[in-house]
Amino acid sequence: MLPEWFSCPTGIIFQDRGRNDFFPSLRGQSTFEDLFRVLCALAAVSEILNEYQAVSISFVDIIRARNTAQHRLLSLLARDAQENLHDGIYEACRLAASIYSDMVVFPMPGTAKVKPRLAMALRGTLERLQTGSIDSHLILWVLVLGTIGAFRTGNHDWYLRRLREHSARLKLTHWSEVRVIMKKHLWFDAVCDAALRKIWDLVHLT
Amino acid sequence: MYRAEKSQFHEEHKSRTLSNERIARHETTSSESICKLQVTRSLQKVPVMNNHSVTKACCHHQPKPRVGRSHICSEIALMNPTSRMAPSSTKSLDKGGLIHSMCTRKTICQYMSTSYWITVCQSFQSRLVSYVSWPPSIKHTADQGDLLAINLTWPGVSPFGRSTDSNPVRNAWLGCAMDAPLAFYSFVFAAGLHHAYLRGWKGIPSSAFTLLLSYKTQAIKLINEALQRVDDEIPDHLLVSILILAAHGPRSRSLDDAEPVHPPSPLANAQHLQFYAALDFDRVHMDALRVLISRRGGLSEIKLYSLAETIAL
Repeated sequence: MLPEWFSCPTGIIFQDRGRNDFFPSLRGQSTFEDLFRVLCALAAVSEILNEYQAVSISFVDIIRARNTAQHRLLSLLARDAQENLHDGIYEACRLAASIYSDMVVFPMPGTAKVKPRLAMALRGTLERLQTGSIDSHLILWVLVLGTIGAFRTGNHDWYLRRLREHSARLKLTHWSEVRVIMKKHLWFDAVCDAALRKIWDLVHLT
Repeated sequence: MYRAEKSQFHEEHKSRTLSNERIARHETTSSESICKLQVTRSLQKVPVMNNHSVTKACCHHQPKPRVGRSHICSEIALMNPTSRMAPSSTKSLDKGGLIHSMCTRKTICQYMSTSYWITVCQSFQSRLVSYVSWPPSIKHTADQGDLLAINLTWPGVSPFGRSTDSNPVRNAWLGCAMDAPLAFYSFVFAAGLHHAYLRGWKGIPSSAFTLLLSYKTQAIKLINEALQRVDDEIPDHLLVSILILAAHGPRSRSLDDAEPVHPPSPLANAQHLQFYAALDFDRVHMDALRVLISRRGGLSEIKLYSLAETIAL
């Protein structure tokens, strides 16, 4: 495994600003400590992208920061969702965060087919997971990202069905209501909003 | 979610502010003279997020055309009117002679202007291949490829260093290219391919593609010769050459033309991932690279700056 200095030192420091509404079901739990730290790093990079023009941060430092965040994400070890509930939640969030990273933080071109592979692995995790006892907003975030990742693949219909059932359970009728929940997790408006609208239309078409 | 170390950023920002730096180029008529190259450069900050447009540097040169084949840059000026490069050294070439005749390696690292590096590359090219016989369009393509490699591709893939003028990756890799023809042919091939990609693959003449192919062929020939000696040594320039050929395979046939589900990220073109994904990875070269690295004792045995990290990437 490469050391983190591979990405070069960056002046951007990831820290949890104490937003209690950021992944509330994972916050403060030792089981998810590593995962939560990575989610904070990815959120920090997203925040930097939003504020790029307003603050004097060099593009090189942004690249280093996103490489650091990606390194930390890839350093998370996969867990078996069948072991226990916590491992299942961890794995689902890890894969969903990887899809998010491929969309925003470390975007690989479509030819690399990263998102479809991640979506397939995520489907396998969700099928083994008892989602009834998990924070419903967290599951919604995972399902939305999985649906985006599975777009135009064989898994897309499965995700659309699960998303439709889950959003009906939460009584969500408009994509903007979904967006409010998404913004409490990893979300980057400029990239994710358009994808959400697209899949929301499909959810109600099927 | 983050805090920035402001002192570091302000320092870096100084070098990126709008400035006009006018340097005159002096030349003497003596064939033994050394030119002091100075570049007029205007920096323009562009608020777009991609590899090279945080600042955009434009070089304006006003060379005096020279007569005489012994003068490197006069050849360049005569044969490539678009480059308008300044003459540098006039001493005769040998494998390392050009660099030493211009200045010491340390001085090269200090003079990181585009013009110097273009001059060095072009001079090395003229030593290696029949540069003088190339049609102007192809020379222009090769020159643009070198320019691209020096100022865009290499600093962009590995964002080391605080300023593109002192990027240690560029220093190290260009030094490697200057020391080993094996590496040089691979570098120029890759840079030419990147240049073609940026022009939409059809923006350069087909004869230029033929030239790139000849470079690749030459690189493969030299790699094969070097592979005959792997029992004695496995040098870093052999590894970097094979890596370059591995990463620059044929154009990918699996291009996805369908409308994507989401708009591109602001970081979509960072570190040239879009370019490298447009090419298929050459498994034969990659497998060879793995074997050689294993024989060397692993990535940690590689000395060339940033090569191990790039292989891992």
